[in-house]
Amino acid sequence: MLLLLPNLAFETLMDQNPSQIKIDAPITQLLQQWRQGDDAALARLTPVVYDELNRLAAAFMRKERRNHTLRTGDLVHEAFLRLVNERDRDFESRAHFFALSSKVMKDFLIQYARARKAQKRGGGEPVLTLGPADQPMQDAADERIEFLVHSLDALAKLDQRAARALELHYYVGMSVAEIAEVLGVASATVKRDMASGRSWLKTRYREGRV
Amino acid sequence: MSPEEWRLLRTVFEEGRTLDEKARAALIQDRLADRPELHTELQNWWASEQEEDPFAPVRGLAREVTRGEREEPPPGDFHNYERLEKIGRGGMGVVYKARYKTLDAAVALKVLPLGNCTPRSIERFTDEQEALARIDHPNVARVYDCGVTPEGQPYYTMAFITGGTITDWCDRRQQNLAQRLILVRQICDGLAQAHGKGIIHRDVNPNNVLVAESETGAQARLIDFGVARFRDSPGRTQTGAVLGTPGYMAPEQLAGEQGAVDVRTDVYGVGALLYHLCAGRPPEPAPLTGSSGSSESVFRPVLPPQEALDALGGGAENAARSRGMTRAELRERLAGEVGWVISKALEPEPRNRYQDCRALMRDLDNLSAGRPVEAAPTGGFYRIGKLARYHRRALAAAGTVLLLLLLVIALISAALIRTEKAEAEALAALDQVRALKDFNQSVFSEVDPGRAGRLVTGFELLERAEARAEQIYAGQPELEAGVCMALGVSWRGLGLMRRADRQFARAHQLYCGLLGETADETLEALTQKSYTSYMLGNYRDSEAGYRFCNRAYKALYGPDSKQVLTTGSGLALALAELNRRDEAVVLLRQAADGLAAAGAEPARVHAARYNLTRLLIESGRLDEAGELQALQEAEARRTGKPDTPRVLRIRHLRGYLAEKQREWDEAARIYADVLADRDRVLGRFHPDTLLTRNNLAVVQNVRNQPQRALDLLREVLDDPARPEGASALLVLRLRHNLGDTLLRLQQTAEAETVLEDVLARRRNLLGHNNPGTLRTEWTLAEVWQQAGDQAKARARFEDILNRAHESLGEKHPDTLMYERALQ
Repeated sequence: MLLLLPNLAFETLMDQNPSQIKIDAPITQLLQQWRQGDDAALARLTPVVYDELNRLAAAFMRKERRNHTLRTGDLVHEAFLRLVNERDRDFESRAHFFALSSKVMKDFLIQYARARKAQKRGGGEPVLTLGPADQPMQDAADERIEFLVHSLDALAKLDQRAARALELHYYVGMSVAEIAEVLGVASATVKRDMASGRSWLKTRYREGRV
Repeated sequence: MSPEEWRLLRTVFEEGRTLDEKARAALIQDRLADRPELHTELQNWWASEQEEDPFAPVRGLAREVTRGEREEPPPGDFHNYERLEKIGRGGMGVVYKARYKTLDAAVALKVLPLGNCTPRSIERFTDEQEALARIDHPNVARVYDCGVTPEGQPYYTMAFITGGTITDWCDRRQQNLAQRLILVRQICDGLAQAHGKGIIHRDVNPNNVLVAESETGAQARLIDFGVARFRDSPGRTQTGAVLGTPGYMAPEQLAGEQGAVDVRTDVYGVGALLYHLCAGRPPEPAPLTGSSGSSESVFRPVLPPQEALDALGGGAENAARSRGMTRAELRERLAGEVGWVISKALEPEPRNRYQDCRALMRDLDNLSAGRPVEAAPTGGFYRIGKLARYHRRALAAAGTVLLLLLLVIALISAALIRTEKAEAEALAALDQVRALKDFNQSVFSEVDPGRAGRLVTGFELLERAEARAEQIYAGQPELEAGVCMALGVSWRGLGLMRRADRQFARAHQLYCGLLGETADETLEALTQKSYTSYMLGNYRDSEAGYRFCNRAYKALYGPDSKQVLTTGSGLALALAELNRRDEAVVLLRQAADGLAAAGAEPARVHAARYNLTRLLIESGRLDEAGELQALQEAEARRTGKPDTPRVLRIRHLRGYLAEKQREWDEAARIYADVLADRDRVLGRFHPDTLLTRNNLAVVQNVRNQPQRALDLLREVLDDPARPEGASALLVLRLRHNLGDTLLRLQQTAEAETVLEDVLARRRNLLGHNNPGTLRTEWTLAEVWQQAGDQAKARARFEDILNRAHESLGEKHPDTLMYERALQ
């Protein structure tokens, strides 16, 4: 029998700096722990969801480049919803968590818009060919992202709560009920905040003021 | 706008939202008479409520990212397909009959519903697609096309099969028993190929076996590998989740014993299908008798098929008629050979069943040809009687009872003699092959620098041998296979993994044809092939190969045998690369614990423990690794001096552990000690010594001591006494790190030269998408970046990330590292 190896030839170590690569703990498991009263789990959960969001965003960008459709699931969304449903938990940490999430998404959107702009200037690869119906929507999106980001930053100086509600709405894609839970206010309040904020935004956009 | 203005506007805006234009004008007059500058703004706000939200697309984009496009599918057509009607639901996903417009052809289109597009189900769906694509067999549905719908659902298409399920079709077409057996045999054949590729169907039942009608006749076609398991991943199906179809599921499957599911599970499925086709209903457990144990047990025998026929009552006449015989005739067949074959396939304990589909197939052939079946109850009368019947015509001509008996005896002994002779010949031939192989290996091993440690002079000789092997051994596949094995070992010794891989693949192919898939020689070739696959970074192939061998050895030598444990540890290393470290740790632990008892040589036992420790370190389970390391070191030191090769290896591990604990100073100290000892004991060019030197250099770089790293690396790389060609892969690792160090020292030009050369060699030795090759490429791009060529570097970074994605997978640590670096 010539059953050789695996043996010491497998002593293959890192080529380069041993950069620390974290293995993500499953989000659901952390949520479970948090629900069971382990407060530290939220602290651990935040970066995981943050990473997951980053990963999703990266996957999305790759999809754009390679013209593949996103093959990721709804882990982050699930995490959001579960967190939203945590009524007993203190408002502070939850709000913090969502602030972080919406910041990640904001960064992603800006990056996305810039990448698309670069692409349109003739940066090599052809513009993605999504379905014909999707095309105008995508084009419209990246034109407006930067405007939206600047405007919401400005709005935050006038009315922080309304700005937060709109951030969660636009950057994270949450529904009114979800936003209400996260911000700890009634749905009606969110609706009012959003109505004023959105009207202000639209007016600003139509007049081309940044 | 000031916050005060905002508040004012907001209040009035809300009050006026539900009012008509006239009332709004009044409101403005009432509330903002003294602020005319705000009037237009407010009017705009109200007016804008009727307008579309220009930012809706941004929100859509964000939702798409965070929710992975979780929308229900709009029914409709896509690409070139026109969906016609839903025809069923498989293990995963919905099946439509669709029209491929260009060709106006009907296809079966299977789509994963959007609501079900979770990572796990997408993975399983694409697994199925991949499983099917890997099988090329007339009796397994062929994938025409696969991809993703515009809505983001994975889909694939297969031939649209008109005949319906096998049971319906056979009844409709009044197929007799022989015709039914032929269809079942076809399914066995298809499954045998799937099994050969490491795919287990796990859900063989009438709904998954369709009949395609064509001019050439009916063909059974196996579909729906939706619950197939081909990477044998226990994590893939949720723990305890029972997938399959009741009545057709093997007891081990019902018991939820994930690990117990193997090819014999499919044998059971085929047996159940055969049962249904013959007896007219799916198998069900036999009623309990006093002695047959607990009613809880799933390991219960099924009702004998003739009794199932009886249970059909009046339907039994119909069943028999549609099978072209009377009820009594059918019952007799079911109580006899046909029933024996069915019962053997449906044995509750896997070890009592046919051990694979080929064995079942052989017995189906025996049934069709009228030869005695393997499944026969023991006893000589059956065989003699059967042979007599088989040769009935000759015997009838003989005429007398005496002559008949004589003939029977003559025939049987002739057959026996023939068999014995053939077997002796085969054995002699095999010995010849073994001798030749040993000879070749002994010759070639002299040019294996791993052993000789000297200049390679045999390289050309090997190349010539390789070029000629095919001609020289044409028509003598057993000899050619032996030579391929020897060449493979030699190429591997030279670090030429791709060449080695080709030779092992050829040997495996030849042995498969000669001796079957599960012969020792075949498995040995596949084991070797799996190792080279591993070295080449083809971890999926490596995994599948090792797994197949592992399973086959389990059947041959039992679960605790040396062979099983050794292939298990090979499998573990492949799994570790596929980011399935937990499974890998389990396997390596089994090997580390069991190899000594299985009689393996101590070196192999130590290797398993060593690899286990290394894996624990790499999994971040540093405490466990530390304990294991300390244990080994204490044990090794008790039995020897502190500088034996084995102790040094364990000490090296301690350095590695410190490295992973980011205790860089400690790691540097240990590595330096080990390096000094290894230099002295093993020599400076021994692979182990080179490795410690390599790691020390890496740690020096991390400690921001690139000059020290540079000295360490140059010391060996520039040494004229270094044997050419020896430890090629390891030397490339050192040279890669030399390039990295030069980059740190901003010696850009030299770094580029070194890395370009390493890249070319790694590509040649390991292939383009090997993780090591990709790393060199990455570092080279970093050099470009340092040299100021941002665009070129950036493009390459992205290209590498894409390729890592495709060849290493999304979760490979390197892929993640690149992803992070690119952000």
